[in-house]
Parts: sequence; structure tokens; C-alpha cells
Amino acid sequence: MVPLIFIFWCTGLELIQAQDGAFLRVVTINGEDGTPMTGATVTLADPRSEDPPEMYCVTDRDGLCEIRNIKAAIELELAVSFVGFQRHVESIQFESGERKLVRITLHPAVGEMDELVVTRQRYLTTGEVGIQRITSEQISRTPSPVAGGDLASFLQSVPGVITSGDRGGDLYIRGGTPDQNLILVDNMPIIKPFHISNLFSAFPDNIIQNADLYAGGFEPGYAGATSAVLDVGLRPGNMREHSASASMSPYVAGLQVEGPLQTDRSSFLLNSRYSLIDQTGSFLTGEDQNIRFADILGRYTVQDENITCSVTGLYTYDSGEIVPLREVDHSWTNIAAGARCLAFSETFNHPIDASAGFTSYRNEEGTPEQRERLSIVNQIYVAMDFKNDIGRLPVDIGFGMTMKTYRLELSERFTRFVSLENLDVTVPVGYVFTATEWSVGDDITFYPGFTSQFTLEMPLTFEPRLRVAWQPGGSEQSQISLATGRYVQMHSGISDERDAGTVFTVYQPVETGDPFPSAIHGLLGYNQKLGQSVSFNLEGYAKRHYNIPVSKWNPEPRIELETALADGLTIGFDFRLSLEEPQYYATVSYGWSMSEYEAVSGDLGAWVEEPVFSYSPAHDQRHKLNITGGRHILGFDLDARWELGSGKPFTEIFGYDFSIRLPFENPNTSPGTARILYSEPYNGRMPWYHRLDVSISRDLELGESSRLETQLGVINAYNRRNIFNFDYGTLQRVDQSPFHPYLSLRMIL
Amino acid sequence: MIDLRHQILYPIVIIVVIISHTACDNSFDPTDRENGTYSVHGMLDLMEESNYVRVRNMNAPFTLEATEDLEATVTLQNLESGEITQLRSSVREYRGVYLHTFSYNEKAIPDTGYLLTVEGSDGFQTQLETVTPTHPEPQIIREDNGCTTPVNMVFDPMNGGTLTVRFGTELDTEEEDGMWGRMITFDPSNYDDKVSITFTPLRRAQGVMASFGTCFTVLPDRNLYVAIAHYSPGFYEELNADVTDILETTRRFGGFYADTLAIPVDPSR
Repeated sequence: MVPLIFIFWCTGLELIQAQDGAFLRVVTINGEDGTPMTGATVTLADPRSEDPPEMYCVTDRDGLCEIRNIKAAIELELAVSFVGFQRHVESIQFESGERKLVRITLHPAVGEMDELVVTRQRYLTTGEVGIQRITSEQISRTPSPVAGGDLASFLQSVPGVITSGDRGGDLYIRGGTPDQNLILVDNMPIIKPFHISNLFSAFPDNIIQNADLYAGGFEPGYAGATSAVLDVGLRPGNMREHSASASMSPYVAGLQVEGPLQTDRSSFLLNSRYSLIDQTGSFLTGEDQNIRFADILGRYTVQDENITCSVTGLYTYDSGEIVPLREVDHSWTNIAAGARCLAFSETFNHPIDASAGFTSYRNEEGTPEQRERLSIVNQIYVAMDFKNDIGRLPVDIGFGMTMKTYRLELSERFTRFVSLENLDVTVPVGYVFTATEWSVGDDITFYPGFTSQFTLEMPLTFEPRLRVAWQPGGSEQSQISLATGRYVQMHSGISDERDAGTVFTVYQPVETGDPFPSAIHGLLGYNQKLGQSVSFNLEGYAKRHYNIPVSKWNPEPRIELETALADGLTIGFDFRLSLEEPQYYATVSYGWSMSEYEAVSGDLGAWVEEPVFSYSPAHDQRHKLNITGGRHILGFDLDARWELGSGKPFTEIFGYDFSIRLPFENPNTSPGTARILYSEPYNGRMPWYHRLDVSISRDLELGESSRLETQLGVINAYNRRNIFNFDYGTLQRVDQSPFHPYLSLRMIL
Repeated sequence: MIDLRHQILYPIVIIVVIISHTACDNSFDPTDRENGTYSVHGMLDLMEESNYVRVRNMNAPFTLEATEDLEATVTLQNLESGEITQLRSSVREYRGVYLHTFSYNEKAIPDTGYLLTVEGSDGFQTQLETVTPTHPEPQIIREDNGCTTPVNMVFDPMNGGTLTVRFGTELDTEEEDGMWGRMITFDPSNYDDKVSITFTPLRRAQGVMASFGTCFTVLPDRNLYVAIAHYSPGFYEELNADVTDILETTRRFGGFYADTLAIPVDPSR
């Protein structure tokens, strides 16, 4: 009922709303392939004035941006620019209250580099604290053992993003755990699109339009996560030419096909990858790599003058041993199919965004002969997002509904957990949100809003959120921004964090009457541009998590699915310095953070004297330093990335014992049962790790329409023995990838 | 740009070099060495001539080399007499690990305090104290051996020990298990000084057999059996608690005995 009211209210207002000032809506198209162009700068200026234009916008992943409150009856100059493309300039004039939708195609600049009209993105977008805008170019230049690059490799260079090592596919973002993240792929909620090798995700650089990583303080439009959001936008297939590419490296083989179904109107994109590391790893590294993964993505896009729609299907598969020799196989799959439409006709006061689809995540664990545990989350979702002007305030309103089905099967050895065995429950979860934007003078802008989630049996949540951006003195070179808010999720994921060798996670809804996992975020950021090529970013943050379900502890290394509720506090800061020049770039980032959980000792099963036990969870990595850099020289691109991280907490072994079942077993005749006992949780820290990845690449033009991209590189260039974990089952130290050379090729036709 | 390099980039490079130098050591020892201690699993069975205690250095991983020498002496002190006996060690190999078992070749005395001490060559001591169960003679009080005649069985004194009782109608054999009912536990929280159990053989046998049969059918042996196990104060609870405390799960020492009583029943009465 609530969504219907919203639809009626919003669409009604959309059509009847009158607007005093004129506005311009620009759609920017890449002249090379006819697809939307992200990040183009659109300015509207008085051609007689020498002052910098005050009216501007930057296109989003749909190639869309808007300028409002335009003075009427004045001839203005509309300019659209993007690095490497010819600048588009035209005169434009508005009548009072007029709405204009302009489609502009930018064509690649030709000629020598010096002659290119290079226009940097001159303006800081507002309220950026906690947000990392990721482009496919950034992804492609992060050394990765695959032609192009991969989002997973890039994310690991972001301060505040922590992985459990080089395998497992779990991301911990600024103190949050993987189940506290929301990952959206064209609005499809995907639980774990990262592969078992942490160098790979389902998103190579050549299918990504852009990605936004919200490490905290995210907007009201994102509901159902208490830590972070990764919002991935996929690019449409080429609207003008058919093309195909095939890639090969010791890690993966890939194939991509795309092209127009109807020129400039509809296109398709198919991309698939299959891992080869289990077949090549032992030859290249001398160690067996018993991991396999694959992904297939298909996308159909249709665009018209004032609407664009896409249908996307995604399948990912991962399987293998996180810890060699343990003989425990992990596997997970994602299946997703969704559609999204964006209508931006000038008859609408604001664009309307609608999406719907189905996603399924399945993860399981067991011996090669028998599956022992299985957890499935199916989601059918629908979401709509409108905007309206109330008075002079633009108000963003959205709602969505997700039918979540949780299934869980545990084998006999775990069936004593009566409350969880063979769980099969469907929970409808709805949400509504609203957000607005309010400027105070020219310098300060507030972005308040709130989100509310609801189910049939649980109370409404109230999640107020606020972002504030202040550009001191109205300068475009610096910005101070803050973000805060409350975040609630209605599900939880339980895993044995003490054991990095297992990634099995039980997903389950919050039971009726239990408190929701929630969090309060606070972020403060300072962004400064120094000249045209250097930017500096400093952020401090705090996240307070409540009611985190944590696996109850026991002295023996085995997952305990009974949970206790812990509260967590993460504080930290990030620092990033970037240098961007046409021929070279460098980024230095450093992150410091401290996470601490506390829970009632009795609930945890902790064998400590204090009634409330505080501990550093397994993802509490204090220091992380990343240095990336690259240079274009003599036709080659040389890229390098060095990462240094302090050791993460682990639980030491208290001792090795043979347990005897007294009085039924006699110590003289029965050997007992060998067991390894955990010490006080997280009382040790692993050693520091560091790794250098380097690559050199060159594109070879093989004809008018074919190109060979080559990349030669090495992972862990100085063969550092970085520990992944100590396996309590086999009593062996497990290290991350050793020196791993690769040659990757991608042929594009 | 040159200034920028001097002011920012070079200091960063220096910091990186310093940090990476400190980060060179990647050795890793997963064992909590500060908790050096011994695990002890053993009991004093009042019915046995010899009793055994398994002792293990918990810091020693599961290898032959690490477990070859325990480097500890184990003594048992009778706290009533003060007599201290050094237990004799025997070593056996099991799946690549040496197991050290210590024997006490005297009969344990009921209702007596014992102190088990494991002392390492470094002087580190692990001590466990127990009081053996009282081992009272069960008193059977009844008017006759009729099938429906109430029987009162008394264990006195108990001195804080825990008694478990199971009724049965058929004894275990080498081939198969007998017929036994559920276990009934008497701990200090549900008795005063003595354990007193009143029952009728027919009802108990019917409960064991899950049948409403007659004495002839539910008591084929013409005996109602009572399997008892008597534990030192706190020892039963320690063995059966869902403990998360490592020391509690690795230090188990107490007194115990088990016996089976046969209560003759005349079905014709």
C-alpha cells in the first residue's frame, strides 16, 4: 500500500509540478561507441563574462546531468568537455520556466597529444567524504594478472578496505564485515561477486562504467547495510560497431562480444571469464592452486531520446580450497537477472529510475565427498526513485521491496543447533527514503534525508542521515565535508572469524523480537587540490556498531553457530595524495584504524574474568599503506603497486591435548581424541605483510580494427612470504601467493 | 613541483623504507607460550587396583620430537596421611605422538583427599585436588521381594559427591547392550546428607521396557538391576558441563567408582 501511495504521489507531482526557473538536462554520448559518457563536465556561462562559469554539472554513469535555476532570455554558452575528446560548444537560450533536454555527442580528439583539448574536471563534486569514485581507467592501471584490470585488485589499494589475504573473496571496509556491506550491480543486490582469488571479481575493467565505494556515511537511497556500499555501474555494449575480444593469462581466459542490435538504439554485451590458475599455478609458482572460478555477464541495453533501459544477467562461480591440505571445499555462486530503466524526458521535472529483478547467492562447504553446510539467500527486488521539488528544495523520494528467502542446511554434525538447522523462511523487507539538498549561501550545502525499513512483523526503522559540504570561500579547490547517519540491516551473516580458512557464512534474518544490527557513522573529510595535478584527501571516521551477531566461542576450532550480540567501535583516518599527469601518475595512501568489539563474556562463552569482554576482531588491521604509480614511456605503460599492512589479530593456540572421555575411557588404554585448543580470542597478531606487484604493458595496433594488448608482470615481485593464516586443522602455516609471473594477452577485433 | 617532491614525496619514501625494514620479520609462532601448562586427564577408581593419569605438555605440538620427553614428575599425595607417591611413567606412541601415562599402583581410599602434582623441570607446577567418593554400602529396605513392594535404597554418607543411577532389566553382554532406563542424577542440590531412592520394581521395569507388562514379562532375569556411578564432589559436574574454559576442559582429575546392584524380585508375589 505504501509503495502505491508513493507512486501515485510522485508521478502525480511529476506531471503537474510547475517550475519557475529554466533547467537544462544534458545527456552526453561517447562518439566512439554511442554509449553514455561518465564524468563529462558541462558548463553554462555568459560568453561575455571572463569569470569562471558558475553553472555546471558533471555527468553521472548514465551520461546525465542537470543545471537548474537558469536565467531566462540570456544567450548562454553551453560547453561539454572530457579529457581526450573534442570540446563541444553551442549557444543556448531559455525562456522562463523552459525545460530542455539536450543530447550531445563528444568525438575523440585527433592529432598529437599537445594539440588535444584537455579539460580537467575542474570542479569538486560535493559531499564526497567516505566516497571513492572508481573509473575503469583507475582499475585498468592497477597491476593485475589479467589484461586490463579488475575491480577487486583496485579495491585492495583503497585505504580502509581490508581482505583476509589473497583468497576468500571477503571485503572488510572501515571496520565492517562482509555481511554488513551492500553490493549493488546496476541496482541488483549481489551478496558476494568477488572471486575466491582476491585478485579477481566478476568485474573486469572493460565492463565497468564506473563504481562508487561508500565506505560509510552513505546516502538515504541505500538501505539494508550497516557498514559500506559498493555501487557498480556496468557499461552498455557498443551502440555503433561490433567488436570482440579474447584474453588469456595464466590466471584466466576471457571472451567478450558486443555490438549494436540497432545502431545508436540498442546493443548487447557478453563477457565471460574462466580461471586457469588451478592448471598453471603449480608450473609457475611450484605450489598447487586448487581454486577455480568463472563468471558470465550478459547485458542488453536500449536507449531512446528520453529513456534508457537495460537488462542484465550475471552468473558467478567459485570453488576450491581456501587452505590447501585441509580438504575442505568451499564454493559459492551468484545468479542475478535484473532490469533497470531511467526516464529523463523534459516533461518530467526529474529523472525517474526504476529497477526490478532476482538474485540468488548460494555458499556451501564440505569435504570433496560430502557437502556439510549450505546457506542460500534468494532476493526478488523492485525499486523506484523519483525526485520532486517542494518549494525550492529538490526532494528525492524512493522506495523498494525485497522478498528475501533464506535457506540453510547443516549436516548431522551441526544439527545440535536446533534453532538454525534446515532454516527456510521468506521475509519481505520494504524501505522508503527521502533526501533533499539545501544550500546556505554559496559555500555550504546540506544533504539531509532519512530511510525507513519495515517488515510484516518487525517495527519500522528510522535512519536519519546527513551530509554537509563546505567549500571555504567558495573555492573549487578545497572542500570540507562531513557525513553522519544511522544504518540498520535486517539480516546477519555468521561465520567463524577466528578461522581465515573458512569463508562459509550463514545468512539469516533477524528473528522477531531480536534487536536489529545497526550502526551510527560519523565522517569528516578534507579535500584539497594543489594546482592542476595534485590532490590531497584526509578523512577521519568513526563507526559504532550495535547488535553484531558473533559466533559463540569455544575452545576447539570449529564453527559455533550459536551467536552472541556484540557492539563494535571503529575509529580511524585515511590519507591520500594523488599526482596525475598525462604521462605519469602516483598515489600514496595510508589508513589507520582501530576496531574493538565488546560483549558480555558469558554470552560469548569467553573464558575471561571480566564480565564484559573487549577484543579486536580478526579484521582489525591498524596500518595499511599503498603506493601505486605508473609512467608512460617509449610506448610502454609501466605500473607498480606496493602494499604494506600491519598484522591482523588471530587467536593463538593455547595448547595441544588429547581429550579423554572420563570415566568411560581409561587413560591407560585409550589414546583419547587429539584436539587443538584456542587461547583467549584474538590475543595475538600476525606479522606485517608487504607485496610489490609490477607490470609493463603495451598495445599493438594490428590493423585498422584490431589491437593486441600485452601485459607482462609479476605478483609479489620479491617473493615475500606473507602469511595467510595458520591452519589449526593441519597445523601448517599457510602463505599467500609467492612470486607469480604472468603474461597476459588480449586481442580486440 | 620540485618543492612538492621535497616536502611530501621524499619524506614518504623515507617513512616507507623505515616501516618496511621493521616489517621484514615474518616469522610466526601460533602458540601462546605464556600459557605453558600441563593437561591432566585421570581418575582414582575405587574399584581398581591401579589408576592412571595422562599428562601432556600443552605447548608440545603433535610430533614425536616434541613429545618424546615430558620433563615432568607426577606425584600423588594422600592428604589424610601426608604420604606422597611418585607415579610411574609409561610412554606409548600413537599416530606420531608420544603419550605419557602415569600409574598409581595402590588402591585409592574412599572419602580421602588426594593432591596430584605435575611439576615441570622448570619448576612450573600444576596441582589438582580431589576427595574420593565415600563408597557407602547401599542399604536396601523393603518388606519382601514382591514385584510391587516398595523398595527404599539409601546411600549414606555422601559428603557432597554425585551419584548417578540407572535401572535395568537385562545386563550388558559382550554381544549386545542390556536394557537400561534413563540416568537419574543425585547431586548435592537435590539431596541433604544421604541419597534415598524409593521405587517399586514393577514400575521401574515397566519404565525401562516402555511396556505395561507383568513382572513375568518385564523382569525376565527376576532381578531389577541398578547401575550406580559415584563421583567425587564436583567431578561429575566438571565432566559434563558445557565448559568453554580451557583449563576446565584440560584438567580433569577426580575419584569415581561404578557398580551394578541386582535386586532380586519374585514375580509370583
